[in-house]
Amino acid sequence: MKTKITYDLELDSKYIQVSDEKVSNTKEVNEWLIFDVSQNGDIVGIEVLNQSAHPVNVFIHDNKVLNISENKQGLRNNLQEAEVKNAQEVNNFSFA
Amino acid sequence: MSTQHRFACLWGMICTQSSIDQEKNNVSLFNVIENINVPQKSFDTAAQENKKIVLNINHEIVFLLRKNIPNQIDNEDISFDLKIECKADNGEVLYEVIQPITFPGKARRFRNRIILDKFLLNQPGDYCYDISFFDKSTDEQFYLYSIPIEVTAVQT
Repeated sequence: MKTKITYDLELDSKYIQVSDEKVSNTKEVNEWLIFDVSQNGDIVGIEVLNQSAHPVNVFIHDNKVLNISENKQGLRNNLQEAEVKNAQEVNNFSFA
Repeated sequence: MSTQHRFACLWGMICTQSSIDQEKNNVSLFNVIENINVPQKSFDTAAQENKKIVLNINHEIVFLLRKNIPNQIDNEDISFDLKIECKADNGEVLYEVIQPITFPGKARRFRNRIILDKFLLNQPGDYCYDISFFDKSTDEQFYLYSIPIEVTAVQT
């Protein structure tokens, strides 16, 4: 599915929906970040409270959240920690 | 006023490194990437195993947004979420990044860069990074700009 964002401007919150799997559990990461999780542990949606104070970068692959980082400079999306499943690394590429 | 009409993307490039001159506020782009050559053998192996290909390329997506309305009329900060999608030749979205940014009210132009360290592939062809944004008042997604990148299979 296409990632959707729903905003609540009065509450200054947003909800990032990354998959249409059924939500079976909710995990409160901290006072402003909440994950909706499916039965197999994948993140279905991310709720960011007080979102104007917490710029959260989200990296999504195959309807799965690979990386979430709070970055006030909004600059770097480093995937070195992220695991890309079902893919093979190729190192002998070149630029033309 | 809707965010949709407040700004536009003037240009975007993919490069391996960029540098900003703090004094003159000019940006220099190094090694602009327009085409990547990947051995055909890698595509064959990945297809046999039903896998995608990961290239470990540190690259930056650099683009320039400009306010459509003069600052004398509209000088509010605009906060919104950008979405950058990497699309394959067959239209498949291979990965996407959501990044909140604030367009400063006093600025007419706003340069942004997103740094990534991997590039995912499924087949040779024309890829692109599509840049769009979400309007907070309507929750709608609006397309801004597309940066092309060609992936060629080469015989080794």
